[in-house]
Amino acid sequence: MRELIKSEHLTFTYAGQTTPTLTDISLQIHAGDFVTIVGATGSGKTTLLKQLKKELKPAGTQQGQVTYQGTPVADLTSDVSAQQLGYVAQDPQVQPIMATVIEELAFPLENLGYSAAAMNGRIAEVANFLGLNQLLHLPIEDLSGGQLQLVNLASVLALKPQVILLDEPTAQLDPTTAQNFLNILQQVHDELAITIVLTEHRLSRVLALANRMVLLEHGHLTYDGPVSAGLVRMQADAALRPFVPAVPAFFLDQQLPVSELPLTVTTGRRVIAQHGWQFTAVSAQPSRHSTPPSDFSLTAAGVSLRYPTTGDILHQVDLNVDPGSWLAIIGKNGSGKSTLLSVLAGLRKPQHGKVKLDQHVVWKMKNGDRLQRLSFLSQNPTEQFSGDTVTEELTAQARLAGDASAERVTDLLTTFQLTAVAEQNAFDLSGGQQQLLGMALALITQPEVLLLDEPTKGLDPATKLLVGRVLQRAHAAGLTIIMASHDMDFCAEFADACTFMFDGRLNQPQPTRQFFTENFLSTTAVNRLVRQQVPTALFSQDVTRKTI
Amino acid sequence: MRVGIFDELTFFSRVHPLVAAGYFVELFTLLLIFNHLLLTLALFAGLSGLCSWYFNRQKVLSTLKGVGSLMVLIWLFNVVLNQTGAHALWVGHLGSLTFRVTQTAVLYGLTMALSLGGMILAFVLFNGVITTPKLSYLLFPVVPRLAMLLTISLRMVNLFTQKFRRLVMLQKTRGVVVSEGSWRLRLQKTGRLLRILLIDSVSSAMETAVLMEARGFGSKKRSHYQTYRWQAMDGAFGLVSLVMFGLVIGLRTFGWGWTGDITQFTLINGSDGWLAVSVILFTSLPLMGEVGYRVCEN
Repeated sequence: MRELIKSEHLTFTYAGQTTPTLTDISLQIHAGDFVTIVGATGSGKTTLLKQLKKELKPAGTQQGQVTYQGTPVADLTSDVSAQQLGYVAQDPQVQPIMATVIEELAFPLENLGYSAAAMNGRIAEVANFLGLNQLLHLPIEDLSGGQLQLVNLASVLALKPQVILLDEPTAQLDPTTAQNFLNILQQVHDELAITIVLTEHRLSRVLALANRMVLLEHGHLTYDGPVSAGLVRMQADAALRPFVPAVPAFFLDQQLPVSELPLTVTTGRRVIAQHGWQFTAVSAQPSRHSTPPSDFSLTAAGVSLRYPTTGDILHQVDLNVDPGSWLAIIGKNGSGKSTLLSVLAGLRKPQHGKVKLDQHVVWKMKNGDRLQRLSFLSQNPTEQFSGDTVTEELTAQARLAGDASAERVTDLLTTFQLTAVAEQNAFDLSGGQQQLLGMALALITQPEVLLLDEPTKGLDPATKLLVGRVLQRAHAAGLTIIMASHDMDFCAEFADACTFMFDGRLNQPQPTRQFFTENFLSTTAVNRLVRQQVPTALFSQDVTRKTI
Repeated sequence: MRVGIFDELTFFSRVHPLVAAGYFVELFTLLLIFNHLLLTLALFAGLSGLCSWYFNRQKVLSTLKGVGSLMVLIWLFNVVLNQTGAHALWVGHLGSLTFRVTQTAVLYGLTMALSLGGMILAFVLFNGVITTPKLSYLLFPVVPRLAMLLTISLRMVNLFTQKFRRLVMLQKTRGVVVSEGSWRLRLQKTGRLLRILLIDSVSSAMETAVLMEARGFGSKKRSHYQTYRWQAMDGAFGLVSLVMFGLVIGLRTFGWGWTGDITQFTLINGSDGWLAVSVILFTSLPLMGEVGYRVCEN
């Protein structure tokens, strides 16, 4: 296949830093490739992606070179670069600049001076291909995250690029929306023969689409080749093991001999059936015991909330929170999860109903008193930052709880692996580090109840595990946790009880295993893989292979 | 900034942007050239009618609530501060100070309040009809950079507003509550919120700027996507509104609708009736257009 992009001995060091972020990267990308760049947070994935398009290249020093069709990327003219190399960013909100979808699609074409007639043709084609016809005249701010990311992709596609670079494009989307986006990306790749290069943490869906996997570790390229062999390589490394998606991880954990690892539930089931492998449940783990929490009651009764523009978002929600419980609320974007959490935290007042912490209505409590008992982590933690250094942020928050001891701050910095960035401004941290700082800010006041909105959003699997373990310790010490999450595996692994939120209504919470066992769609990949044999299995360690 | 504030299938939203802009220029001119109570009342009533027709009930009520309170304030200021008018309606004494409420102050205050209220309603209507794409279309041939800047700025203002609302809510978790404490403290906390807003927005705006460049912004002379076809109804509406406007201006040049000496203010002047009918007709033109547009439906 024709070589499109070539990186030769590329080393890149950010301005003001002494250690290179990328070291000696040599890589070829051919026309028609679907390449997934994999690696932990800070491994250099995004930095590598940004080296492939001159407008995105960060300030720093570079050795070696990157070429596009034989021309150094830095020497490409702006219009060639814009036209042939498309880029879609992680946060769908930052790309749009125009007021409506149709204007946003026209924006790159206007930039390159296309005539109105040519633009009409391109927009019609792209809108039809991606099914955006109904959205064309909607204001950008009325779109959901998934629709917005689709518009961002369409805006890039309108220029008929040769290559599309995507930086964790589904990190901010719920699983169903992410799957829809990836299906469309596959269509773009398969039907338009456009080369795709993307970075991703959540590998369970994307690896099935890729023909190549590139693994970065601490800025070094340590693997470049077929996906299956790459996963075997990752499973062998303890630090990378959490990155291996559940289906191939199941085959590796159970030591099932296959020539190529299945990447989807369907192929996994087919392989199991072909080989006639049988599984049985392992004896259940003893349930976790937590320290009895302080005696309090948190109840929501008949809570209804309506936004002037979007209408009803919460309908008569009732919830009785058991002290010391860990409840996961699962639901699609827009189902009302975040709004409910903000109401429970006393940050928003509903039109009807009451939320009471003991006998106090939460939004009537004095802010200082409420902060001592309830902590809230938003899904955009930067909106809770003050714009100071990490240490200053934590110290100020600890002061609100009346305990600004340096020891507590240092403890949390160590726990959340933030010591190295303690003196950096909170806004300069990576997305994952910002999420960890948000978590540390929520925990430093030592609340009775912790409300978490998408606590694993944007985190790589290893960091997610770290967060889970920290929360598990706090929960064992008596902390009550209510979290809204799309992350089925995280909820299944850590929460005590789970419930669905749908159309502004909250279902009755169920014990976690029962919840996931009874669900057909919203359950773990391992459950979907082996539930015909072991209906209660949620993880690969829940089953063992029967020996005949 | 919001697009499609009212039904996109109305006559007024379909009329060519150039014609709609012309109508608003004429409307704003009329709001500035009269100081007779009946005329400002006619303009205010006409604009209220237009807003009620085009916008939803909630928007009309919230607009009128805001405009009404401002109008009451203006009227009160006039009544209190204008002590030199004719025909005292009430005289009060406080020590050596004499306080008079005069007919001039009451009438002039009402006229000013209606005039300003009408101006705000006209802007609200303008914002609903001349949406950002239309404004950009009008400005692009003359000042393309300004057109682009305007589009970006309007989106940014919208994002800032949304972000600020979220910050007000979420910063409570950091002890920043703008509705608690003394005024001085509240002011300090609002300043702190604005600082956070600025840091956060600058960081996102820089990323947006890079992504604009990545999509070819600045690489070539920009073209423009939006085109609007000139139709017969545009010509008819533009012509009728121009004739009506010319007629009203003609009458104004005879001194109708204006009193130079405000102490001579009266409730109604002899010539106001004809002018009031003319301005009502002028403000009703879009509604007449709607009737015509519906009559011409298949």
